[in-house]
Amino acid sequence: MLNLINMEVLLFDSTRDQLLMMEEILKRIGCRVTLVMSEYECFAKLMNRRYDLVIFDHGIPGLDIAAFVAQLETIDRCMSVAMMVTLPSRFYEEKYGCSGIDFLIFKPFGYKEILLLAREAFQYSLKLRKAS
Amino acid sequence: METSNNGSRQPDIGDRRKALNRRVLDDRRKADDRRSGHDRRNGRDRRSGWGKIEQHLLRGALAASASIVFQFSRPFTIILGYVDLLLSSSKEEHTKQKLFIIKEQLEKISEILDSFREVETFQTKDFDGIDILDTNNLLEAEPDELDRKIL
Repeated sequence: MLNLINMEVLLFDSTRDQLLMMEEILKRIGCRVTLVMSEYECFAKLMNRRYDLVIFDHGIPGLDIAAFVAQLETIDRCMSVAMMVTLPSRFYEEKYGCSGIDFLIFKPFGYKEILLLAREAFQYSLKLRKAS
Repeated sequence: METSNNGSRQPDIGDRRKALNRRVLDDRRKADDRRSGHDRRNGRDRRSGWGKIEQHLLRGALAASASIVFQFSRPFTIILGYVDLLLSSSKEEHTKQKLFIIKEQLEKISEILDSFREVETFQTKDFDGIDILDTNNLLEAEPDELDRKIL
């Protein structure tokens, strides 16, 4: 079983309520969490520290998701990227299938789903880092 | 008594309709210019309108259900997350039982939202004289194979 302690997670959303809930769950799992509420702040954090997982919301106003994910890839290719979504996966397959999004987490989600995502994302990130 | 005021009469060339060679001279339209009725309706046939009524209704239903799902998903996720957190930290059995009930009900709402996500056909059912969107068959359907793979 993977140890998630000290796994670095960057959470990006435009509103604070969802971020705070996720932060509390991720901290309980043992992750170290950073919260950001703007694209600029997100890239500034990524430049200063290595993260294992970035989770962002699909509904952030004004965010060009494809460009954002492409930028994330140029910063760190081995970092897992997860997007919080609402509709079934087929709606996102065509649009973001070829982008660098590694995981989709479907709303509504709770403790169990976040734990599962963190575990899989950490495993994936480790695999990529070893391969590179 | 003549009432005609044809002051300047044209020279009599006979009845034009009877002439056999009235198209001998250049016809204004060339054969290539003539299009069949089918050609004129190329592309979009105006007579077909904007599609079937069922498709319009489905589009309306899809827009409404997507709107419901989008707007409910965020507050619903937050509630579910905090209920999970309270469940994992609470030591009082009484509180835990109530939290389990809340979670069960939230899971039921989640199933209803799932059924709205999967609307693909426009079907209504009667609910005390009011037509409501029939999502029962979707609730019983198996989840999408892709959805199962991704969390």
